[in-house]
Amino acid sequence: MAIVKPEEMDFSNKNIVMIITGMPGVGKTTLALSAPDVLLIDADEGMARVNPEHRKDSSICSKYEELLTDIKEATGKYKTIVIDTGGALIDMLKDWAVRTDPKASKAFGGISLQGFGVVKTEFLRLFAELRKNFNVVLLFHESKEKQGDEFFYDIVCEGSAKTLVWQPADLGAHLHIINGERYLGFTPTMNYNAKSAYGIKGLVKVPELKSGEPNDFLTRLFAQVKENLKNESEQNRKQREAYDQVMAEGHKIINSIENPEDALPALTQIRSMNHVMTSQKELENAFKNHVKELGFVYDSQVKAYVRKAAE
Amino acid sequence: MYVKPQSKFLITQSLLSSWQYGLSDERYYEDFLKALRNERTPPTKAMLDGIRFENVLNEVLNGATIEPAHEWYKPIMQLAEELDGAQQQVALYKDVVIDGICFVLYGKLDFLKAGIIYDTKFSKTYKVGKYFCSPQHPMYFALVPEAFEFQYKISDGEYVYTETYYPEDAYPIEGMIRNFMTFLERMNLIETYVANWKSKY
Repeated sequence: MAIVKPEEMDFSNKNIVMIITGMPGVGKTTLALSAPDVLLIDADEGMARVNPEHRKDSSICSKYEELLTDIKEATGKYKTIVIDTGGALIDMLKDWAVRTDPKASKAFGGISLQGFGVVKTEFLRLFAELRKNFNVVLLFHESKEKQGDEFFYDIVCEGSAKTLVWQPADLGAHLHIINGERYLGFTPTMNYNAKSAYGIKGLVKVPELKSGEPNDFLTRLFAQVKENLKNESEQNRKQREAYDQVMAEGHKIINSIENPEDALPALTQIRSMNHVMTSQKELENAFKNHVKELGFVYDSQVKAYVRKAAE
Repeated sequence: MYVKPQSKFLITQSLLSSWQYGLSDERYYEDFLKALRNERTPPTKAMLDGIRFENVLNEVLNGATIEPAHEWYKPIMQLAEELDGAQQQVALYKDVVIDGICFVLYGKLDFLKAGIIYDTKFSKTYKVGKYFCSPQHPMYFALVPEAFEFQYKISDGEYVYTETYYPEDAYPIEGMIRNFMTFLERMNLIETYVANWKSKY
């Protein structure tokens, strides 16, 4: 294992895992194909609906084992794997679990509770493995459900996996149309789930793709993520160094308290420091716990810390 | 509405959550009235599981070891790694004046570390986006305005899920308190609140 200092960190090779959700026909597959060097795992026959001009290589597989073989072959040749759709992937995993693990099926058919456990574990393993070599774009169809006065767009996926699929994602966006223009919504709202990160948030307009133009929206977005990460890292490094220094000094002051009369000057000293991020509240909490451990209490009459009287 | 000018009233995220639940489902309305009367209700099994999970996590963070055979070994170890060095159970309060009434916002943060507020939840029925409307992150952002992120760390006992919110995306808590007071007034519940939620701070 190599220890890397923040200033030496390089995010240029970081792979991004992104979820794109949207109603059927909104253009998810074409958008996903705009990621860098794509191989499409086409479990939804989505490529047939893509303008021939923008089609990319695709893997058509009906079994999970075939998908694993194709992904293995894709290593080193492609930069992004698009899975169309995530719901179909979960169905494929269910089929695989039932066929390969005796505990995964119920006595009278169908997948057992343990089987869902197998699916979840394999899903997370697959994504951890994919992330090492590829960006991953996971597409989900949505269904529109009435929730009180609002509509909620929920992903179409096996119920027990609906939450899990968000776990490995760095970014998640809802592709939708507002006044005839397409937007990716990266910030969750009352109407859909989403996941923002690395400064990519809110509504991002997806320009109309005209004939003859390169389909490279996600390629540019991923480059933006890497740029933001680099800048964020530099900013955070300075702030983090200052924070670590204040915290170290503060803990030193707290640990020097031995007698009740040391407590108040220590607290004053902590409060007068140049605080960074949440250091003041953290150190005040650490102070409070420390004096409590020492058995000191604040006496408001004498306006000082005193030893707690024995009960 | 008339309240004594010098009085201060406590507002907690759990009171506002209870109100939200009571409004969304009438089965929980009685629970909200109990909360408003500051009556203790016996904890449910889900609540007890949550308390037990949090206790195990805090013990591990404070140096206890957890056996690999423990039912929650995996999520506890994952959380312990992430929350190492965080301040635990950070109690905070803050005065705010809304429509001429002085409220004391009070909250106990599960964890606070380097600008991030963490709140652990134990839920067997967690769905992504569950906490979007929760008053907890808006309330805690008001208590810690210097925080730049709030993370709900939710475990179902096997996995850990994260729901992240940022101050700029959270509804200001003042709006929710204003709506809460309007509701109390409309339902003639102001006196119940005033009688039971006077602040000692």
